[in-house]
Amino acid sequence: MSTQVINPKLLDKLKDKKYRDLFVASQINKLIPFQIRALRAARGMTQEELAEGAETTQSVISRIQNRGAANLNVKSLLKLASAFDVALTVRFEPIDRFIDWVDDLSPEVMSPKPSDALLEEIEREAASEDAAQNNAAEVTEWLKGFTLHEPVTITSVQVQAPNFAPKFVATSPIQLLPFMYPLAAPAISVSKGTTQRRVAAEGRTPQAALRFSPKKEVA
Amino acid sequence: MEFATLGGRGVLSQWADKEIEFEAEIEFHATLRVLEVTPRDLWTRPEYAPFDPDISEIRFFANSLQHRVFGFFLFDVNQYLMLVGATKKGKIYNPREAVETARKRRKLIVKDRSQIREYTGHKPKVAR
Repeated sequence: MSTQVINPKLLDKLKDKKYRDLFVASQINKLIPFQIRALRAARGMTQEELAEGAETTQSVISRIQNRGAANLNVKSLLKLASAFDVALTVRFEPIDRFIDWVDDLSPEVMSPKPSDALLEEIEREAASEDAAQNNAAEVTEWLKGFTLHEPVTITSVQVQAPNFAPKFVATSPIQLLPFMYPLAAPAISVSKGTTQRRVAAEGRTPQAALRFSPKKEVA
Repeated sequence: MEFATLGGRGVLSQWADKEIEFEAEIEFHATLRVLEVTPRDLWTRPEYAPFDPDISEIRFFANSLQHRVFGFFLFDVNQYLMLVGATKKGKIYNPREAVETARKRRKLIVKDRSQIREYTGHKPKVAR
């Protein structure tokens, strides 16, 4: 798998302090207006609407978008953040982290969700996670009903997503891999050494899966 | 993507590295970063504008000078091909024949795509 590293050409040029300073300034000057445009598009906001929310004028928004953010102060940025209902980060960073930031211009990064909607989502997820944890505890208990030819210790149970298959991670010579419950027919992968077998239950419940003996499937 | 000489050298890489001030190079690369993540139908001013029916220009301002990079879209591969870079003072380009060069190179590429290479100078990070 390839990893991403700082572009060697850029790395070499960044050794020059003047280049470095201009690089940082240029990214801010270019990327803030770009993000303002991206956020406006994502929210369906006109320049006038944004101006109203940020307590400024449409011509100021237009100027930022067209000529850059070099003259924006923190107070103005905070007003823009408030108009978009997003947080604002202004801090001193090491250059490598700054490069990470300018490298990731994905829509998720450039058009963050409004804080209001995001906080509601977080609250809903926490409630679903509690329910899923209870569900996972029940399934963990059920797994103890299996007869395996070597003991399996379940060390952790990871809930991947609300109402989605819990993922069991077990460490031992026999490993229980992702197991589907209760959305699909329960399935278990059992591995030993390099040999892996996948066994699937016919029913949709843990009880139905008990008809299986993974022991027979392990090489 | 950029136009390459017969020897395989990228003409925009050469221009950005050797022929313009580094303030302009930084601004050029920041402009490319923004365009790269903008859907093609949203490429508009101030970074981009059509020039004539065949070629368009990437626009940026640095060191009190307007800069233009002429090119065109290779629609089938959804890539923009940069053909030549120039600075602009009033209506005068430097190099003066920049527009003509862009048109000639476009004609060449339409017939034969061998003189094309990927441009990576603007990428803050690359695969190891």
